[in-house]
Amino acid sequence: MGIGSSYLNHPNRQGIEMKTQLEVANTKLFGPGSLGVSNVKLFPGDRRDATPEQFAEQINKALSQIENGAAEEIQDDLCA
Amino acid sequence: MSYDALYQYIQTLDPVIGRNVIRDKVRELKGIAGPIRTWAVELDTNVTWGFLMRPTNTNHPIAQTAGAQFICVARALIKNRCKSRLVIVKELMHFFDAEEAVTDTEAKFETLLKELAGRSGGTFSQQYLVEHLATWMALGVMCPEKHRVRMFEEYKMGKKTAYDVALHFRIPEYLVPVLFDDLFEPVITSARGIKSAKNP
Repeated sequence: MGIGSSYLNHPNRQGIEMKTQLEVANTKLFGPGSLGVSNVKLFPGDRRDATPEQFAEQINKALSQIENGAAEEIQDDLCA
Repeated sequence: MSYDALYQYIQTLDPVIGRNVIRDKVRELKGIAGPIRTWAVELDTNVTWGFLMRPTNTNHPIAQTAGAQFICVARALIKNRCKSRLVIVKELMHFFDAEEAVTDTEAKFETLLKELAGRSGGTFSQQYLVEHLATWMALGVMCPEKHRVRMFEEYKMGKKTAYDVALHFRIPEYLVPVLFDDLFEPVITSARGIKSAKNP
């Protein structure tokens, strides 16, 4: 038995309860000190069986990209 | 100001209607002080092609970077200009959402996501219904009516294919049947009558 598994089985170990993606999104969009969103709307993707968790996950990832400078601004008119 | 004012302005223009032309007119009509910015981000296009967000807390780091109203588009769609244009213009239509159709609480947001996931229980929220309406409204301002009618005539006579029509207006081809649907005119007429919410 390795160190990792003995730690995982330790009787005093307290697991971290991970928030759901929807909880994370709700906190970011509507919680105290949040963005205070006055409107949010989504363009559904190709699959019709996406779950609320998957929608929330995509929003969370996009907001993280913006926050971390990984989003690129689109400037052109998209007509050509 | 309502969608009707934007619709009437578009009727004075010829295709291709630039998405920046539509964006700037939306800003003007709604009296939005700051820019409406658009961002390319990594998104799973199986789940979503993009979204609109309007933060009121402009001191928040995300709003400081992205702006007080912004649209995100899946980076994978950027090379397909018709699809990325559609996402942006559809999301712009939500600036004309009625008061009861805005998504401004956790409960409304959760309901919207459930309905988008097909878990509606038979009834639909105003938030969900305008998600669909906005696509029709977007077509209404990317395809000026006299050009739509002319293209429909030419399509019926076999002079134009669905692809020709899509290319003419720079819209995705899968939406051409919507553009030529019997319901198109009444749906647009109805949308023109919606009283949009005041800006926050």
